[in-house]
Amino acid sequence: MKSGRQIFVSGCSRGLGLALVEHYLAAGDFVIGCSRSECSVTSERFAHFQVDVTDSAAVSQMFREVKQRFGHLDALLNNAGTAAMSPFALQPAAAAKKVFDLNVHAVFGMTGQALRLLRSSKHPRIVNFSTVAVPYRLEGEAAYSASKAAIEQWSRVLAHELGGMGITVNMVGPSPIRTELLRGISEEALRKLIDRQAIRKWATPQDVINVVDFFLRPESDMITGQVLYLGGAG
Amino acid sequence: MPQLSREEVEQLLLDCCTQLNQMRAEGEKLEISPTATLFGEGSPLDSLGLVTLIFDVEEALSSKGVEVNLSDARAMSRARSPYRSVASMTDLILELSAEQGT
Repeated sequence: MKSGRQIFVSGCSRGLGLALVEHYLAAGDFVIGCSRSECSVTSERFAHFQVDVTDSAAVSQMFREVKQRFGHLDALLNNAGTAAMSPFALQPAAAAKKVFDLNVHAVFGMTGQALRLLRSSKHPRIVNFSTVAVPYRLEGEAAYSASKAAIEQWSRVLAHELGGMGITVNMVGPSPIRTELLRGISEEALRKLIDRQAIRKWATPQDVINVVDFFLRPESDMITGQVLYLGGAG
Repeated sequence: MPQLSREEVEQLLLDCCTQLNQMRAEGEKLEISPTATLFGEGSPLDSLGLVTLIFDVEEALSSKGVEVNLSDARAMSRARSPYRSVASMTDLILELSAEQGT
């Protein structure tokens, strides 16, 4: 794989985001990450911003600094996200709003800012993160899966709007991975979900990274507006 | 932040239009004039072309030390589009850069 790219990862301090950072550092890329909390990664090819991505003013300031310090981006991985598992009838409106603020509006804001920095890349890429909860229409995940369905449709439209600039926009839809995002869901519920998959096993961060790698390859210039689900969903 | 004169901003905008024209087919080129229509009826610029022009102008301004976001929420919500003409876009740039400079 070609190295030396400048890759931005949101939600980089733990879980899948942290795995993405470590993977691209190991591949020789320069990684810029942001998270609300501190990040334990130390590398001369890593820069971290402690930013809440729902704070649009802070996001603007962060990208101004990214531009000044690093000039351009080759890829934006909109990994930051949250889940709120609850039957709709029991879910406070504020909880659903929080999900949409982070999973939808923050992705809009981050992408809007990053576009200016992606333009000068030879193979500019945006990767958004969906979930198998969308095709499986999972009970108890109405707000979460609706937010991800929104991002899927938005990404498809964006792929058309940005195709003229050579920017591809794709999505990966992970099946369950043992990360904090699934905290609070019973093991039985997860087992039932996994049993619906064509490949009935837990996914790993490496399974997701494999898909992201595919989208980021220079050879994937013609791949855009696509969702790739793990485990055979969709 | 440095303050550019109206003439400097207008020239920068026209330079960006000229640069954009290099990638546009005959019959699709923008008129290079301070009184030209940029976007909307009477202009060949589509929305993707407008986005490219806005990004080009922001970059050109940035190279002169002026950092503005021309797709600022207030700009987008105006009743009359600030992108409709060279003159209105010049007004927008001067307004936003003056705010940034204060």
